[in-house]
Amino acid sequence: MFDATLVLIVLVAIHLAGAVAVYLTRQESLLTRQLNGIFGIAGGVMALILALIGLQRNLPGSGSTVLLSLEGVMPFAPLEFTLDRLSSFFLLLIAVVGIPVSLYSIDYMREYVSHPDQPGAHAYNLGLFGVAYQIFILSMILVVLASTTFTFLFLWELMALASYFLVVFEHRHRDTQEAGTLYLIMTHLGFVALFIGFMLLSGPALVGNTTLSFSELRISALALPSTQRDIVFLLMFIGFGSKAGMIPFHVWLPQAHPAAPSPVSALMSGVMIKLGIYGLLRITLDLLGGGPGWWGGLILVVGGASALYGILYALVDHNLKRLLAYSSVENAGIILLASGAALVFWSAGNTALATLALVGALYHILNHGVFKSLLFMGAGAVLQSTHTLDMESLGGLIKRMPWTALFFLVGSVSIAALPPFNGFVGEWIILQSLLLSLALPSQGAHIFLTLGLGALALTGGLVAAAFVKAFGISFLALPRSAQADQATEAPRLMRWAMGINAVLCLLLGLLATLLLPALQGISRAYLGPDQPTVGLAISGLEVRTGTDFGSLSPLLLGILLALLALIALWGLRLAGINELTRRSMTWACGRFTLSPRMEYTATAFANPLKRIFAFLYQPVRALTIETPGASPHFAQDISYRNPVRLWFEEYLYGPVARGIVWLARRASLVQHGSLHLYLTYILSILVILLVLTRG
Amino acid sequence: MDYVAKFLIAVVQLLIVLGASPVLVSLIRRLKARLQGRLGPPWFQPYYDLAKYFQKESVVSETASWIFNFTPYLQFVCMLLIALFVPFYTAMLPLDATGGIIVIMYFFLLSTFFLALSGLDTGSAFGGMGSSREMTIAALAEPTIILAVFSISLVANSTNISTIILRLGSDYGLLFNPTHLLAFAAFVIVTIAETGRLPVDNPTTHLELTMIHEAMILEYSGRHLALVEWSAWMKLFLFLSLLTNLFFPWGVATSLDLLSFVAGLVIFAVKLTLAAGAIAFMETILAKVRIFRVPELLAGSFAIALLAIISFYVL
Amino acid sequence: MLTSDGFIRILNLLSVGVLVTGMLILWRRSLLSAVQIFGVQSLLLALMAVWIAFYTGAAHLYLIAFLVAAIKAVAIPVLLSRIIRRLDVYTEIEPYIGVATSLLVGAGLVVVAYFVMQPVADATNLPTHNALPLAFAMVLLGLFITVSRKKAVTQILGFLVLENGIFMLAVLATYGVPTIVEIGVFLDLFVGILIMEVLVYRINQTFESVDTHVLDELRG
Repeated sequence: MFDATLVLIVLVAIHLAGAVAVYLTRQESLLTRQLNGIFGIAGGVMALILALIGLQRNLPGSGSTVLLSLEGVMPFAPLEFTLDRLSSFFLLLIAVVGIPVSLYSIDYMREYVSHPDQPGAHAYNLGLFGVAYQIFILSMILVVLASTTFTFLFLWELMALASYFLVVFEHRHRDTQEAGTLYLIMTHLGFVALFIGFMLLSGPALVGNTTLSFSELRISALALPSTQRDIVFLLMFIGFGSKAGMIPFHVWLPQAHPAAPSPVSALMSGVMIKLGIYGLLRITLDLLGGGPGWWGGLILVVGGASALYGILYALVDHNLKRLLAYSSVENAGIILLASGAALVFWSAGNTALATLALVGALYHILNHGVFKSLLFMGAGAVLQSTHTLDMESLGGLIKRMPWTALFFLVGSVSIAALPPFNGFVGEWIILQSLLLSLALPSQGAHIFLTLGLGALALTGGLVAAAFVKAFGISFLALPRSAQADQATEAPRLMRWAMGINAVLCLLLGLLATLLLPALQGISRAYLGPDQPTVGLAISGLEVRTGTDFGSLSPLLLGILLALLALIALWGLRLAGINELTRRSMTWACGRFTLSPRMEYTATAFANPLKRIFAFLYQPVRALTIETPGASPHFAQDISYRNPVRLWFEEYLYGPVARGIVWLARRASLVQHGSLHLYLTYILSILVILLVLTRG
Repeated sequence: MDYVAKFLIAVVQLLIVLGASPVLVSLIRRLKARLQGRLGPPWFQPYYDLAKYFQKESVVSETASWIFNFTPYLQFVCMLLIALFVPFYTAMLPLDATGGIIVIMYFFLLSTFFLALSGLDTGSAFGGMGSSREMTIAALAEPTIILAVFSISLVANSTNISTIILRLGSDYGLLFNPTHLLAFAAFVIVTIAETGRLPVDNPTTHLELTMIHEAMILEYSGRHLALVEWSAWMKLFLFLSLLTNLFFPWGVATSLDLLSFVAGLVIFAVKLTLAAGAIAFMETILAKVRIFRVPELLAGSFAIALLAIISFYVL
Repeated sequence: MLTSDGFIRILNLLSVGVLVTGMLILWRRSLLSAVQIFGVQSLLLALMAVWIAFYTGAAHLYLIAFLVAAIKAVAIPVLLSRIIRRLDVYTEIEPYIGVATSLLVGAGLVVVAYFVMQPVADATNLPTHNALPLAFAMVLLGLFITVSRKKAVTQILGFLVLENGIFMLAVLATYGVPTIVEIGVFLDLFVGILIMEVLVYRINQTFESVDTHVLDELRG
């Protein structure tokens, strides 16, 4: 029907034209925002078409088609783009998240237009934002299609730079600059690991070639000695893991996400960090073609640790966006855990379970993209309306922003993996794959999988607690500040964008059986047919795992829930219960009015868990009471701080950064600033060189 | 199984959980009273309570939002839904393939999630405190539940309730292995924590600082209170049914004939009476522990559940 | 030597029971009940020895079982309870590591024991070989109790649990070391406990505490 190559060319053209068009408009006009949104949506639709083409093709094995090979665009190496099943899936993710976010950005970015009454206060250059935004989306789309080493690394770097410019968009804030710098450093450390990894992977085949295509890499990877393969794997794991936000390379996430404009946070968290997973899957499943069991074990353990660490810090963070960022660390951890399990199963020769675990991982990638971008958009709506993200000054928003509250609630329920929403189906599949691990003969693997299961289960409960806090404290009860009191509902397009994602959360939950066969196809393409028994079987509305092990039919659950609700309502009415409601005040312990200061705060809510996990948080309790008069009983000002310890920042990055600064100081001794000194250096080097090269 | 039988079984499941859960609560209260040398409330007191709540108008806080009104209904429907998946007297559950034990646990979590939200919704400090504590306990109980479920599914090689009962019921030798017994011990502790019984939470207290579940529902009245209370009783009923039938599947009907149904009902009643007696006994001899000792209890149950799995692999 | 399903099943139940009592010692805060649980554990071990003796016909194990029951299940708990009562110490354990955490560490140690001992267990074909990792886990648990608790009495208890673990290993792996050695060990243990009792009493008199932390002050 559609020619994939043509679609790709149109897609690239749309985004490039979008970048130019947005830049040419008047920087503060509505048109700028509209054009940016429309070009983003159009590109997203093209990506969706391309994804559907790729998923529909019944290519044998992991077969793929080269879409486009461009010689001469870059001076020394051709660019080559290939569509296969894995890239199709990630294209789908980019499209599904990208379209609503682009829609959302139209109304959201007016935040940055200067107001007539206070000129220049908020003004930022929206034209430049549009350029970076279009290039960011384009580079993400192209990076999953890239099929030569050079193309991949070039686009990977382009994606990192475009996202850096988006993160530092609010460049007037010092925090933003620092967050951007940290992001830049971390992403380049990852890039170095990837660069070396790809060079080692190319092996002797690199000699005489400027770049290798992925199909050549597959062949050269087979010839590599096993230690070199291990090193390649470790480098790639670090490089892609740092993009995915796994510990200990997660430190940039909680800084960069709150600093970036909300649509960018949604894209980065919903899509970009998943591209780290894409890279890892591409390397381990495809290019290296699997490896020893400990590869999967390592990914599983680091994933489990990331999941726990992420959610525990989300629980005690009271900045709405930073909480979501930590939760992204957690979700990346869950995805890594499932992917690691898939590799463990695969290396043990059990492709049935490997498929099951990989389907779980892929489904969770898509689900997380949908609900996390929804939550970031909701947090953005709150920020736009109240100008704060501090949960301690929010509250009562459900009455002032009913739609935003509803959508945020849907996102929270989905991310807490509660039925009948999408998070539950993904979690169920991952749990099933781990529960089925008893089929494995290897004994060491049991322990890892059991611990992974324990970590996953603990994470599940803590996520529920964290999102009761996030939604309950921010949206329910009384507003805790004047800004929250005066909040107004988000503009129409933002509501639409959030609504689309909320509906998607429900649909992906209820109609999972429609999408799962495609994911199964992707997994089988790389892992091979199910052995020794069936892993995952989808029949009609029902998902089955193992031989008679577990089954789930999400749509039927949803229908039952609705049906029972109708029966219950009808039955209660039939029984003639009193349906009158009187509104009255909450009991305020005998006081006449309920003040927001009597409400439970986010800090108080998280405190029991903070005390229980005190060995990790090591909270510092600082209570100062100022009493102006003679009596100590009339306090004027009470301040209570209870910060937690950030282990990696304090013990890993702190010393390294100080060491580098120390070295730089030493090195600066030779930099004196005097011209004569520099000329002396040149002279002495010249003399030394001449002496050395004499013989 | 034809559709009429399926439909009838589903209806009977719902009727049992609706009708018998207040009786179970009454039984526990009366047994406890007897152990403490009191007479206890009348047998049908829970029904009288429900009838009275339902006849009164509901007073809803001005601060509260739709979440507050929505939660009791959601909770009620969740419990009814779970009742379709929990074996009482028969393992021939019509909708068994729709979801297994994991679905049950996540629907319980869904109702807890919303109850915690409605605790925060009124803006009262007690509600917030109750929510915070309830979510803390739920979060810590979750890993034990999953590991206990894992142990059962290891022994029975399934997560579907009917299959578990059929396989365990056909080979009693499976019941007497360490994995199964340890998983049972772990599950007992999480049952106590999840249903808010002593020593984790005191269902009869209204002392401000010790409440957990009662603090969350402090602002409810009228039909909302009736639904919340009824749901809590159903939750207890469902948890005890799971506990007794999953770990001791004796007498659960595995065929579709009237005799085994009647026998199943009688044995089910006996099992629940024993469980009620155990709870009454424990609540008589134990005092509520401090809230910060509860994690020790739950960590203990987690360790036991982990031992259960390890002993499966070792032995 | 016959192997049968029933023999192994009961043996496994007993070994898991012993391990569970080990975890219970970590769990309970009351010193007295920890001592009582130790008594129960020793009783279970004695039962295990009897069961193996009954099955394999190794008659000397009956004697050892009797000694275990008499010394470890009765005499030592009585002695320890006496110390606790006589010192009138605050009868709660004082852990360096919280109870919840130490339970998790305990479970982790069991995992480690399984990981380490599985090759050993697989190498033998004794009918009792499956329970070997559990016995080794008891040794690790005993060590952990010793290092993680402050009071001298709990350290004695940890040492005893460790000794129980070694005994369990010996019974399972070799059906008991020669009787004479075993009896010697028991006597040493008994005398050791008596000496420790006196020492603990002295520590308490000198420092008015049995917290071994105060011994740090003795260094020069």
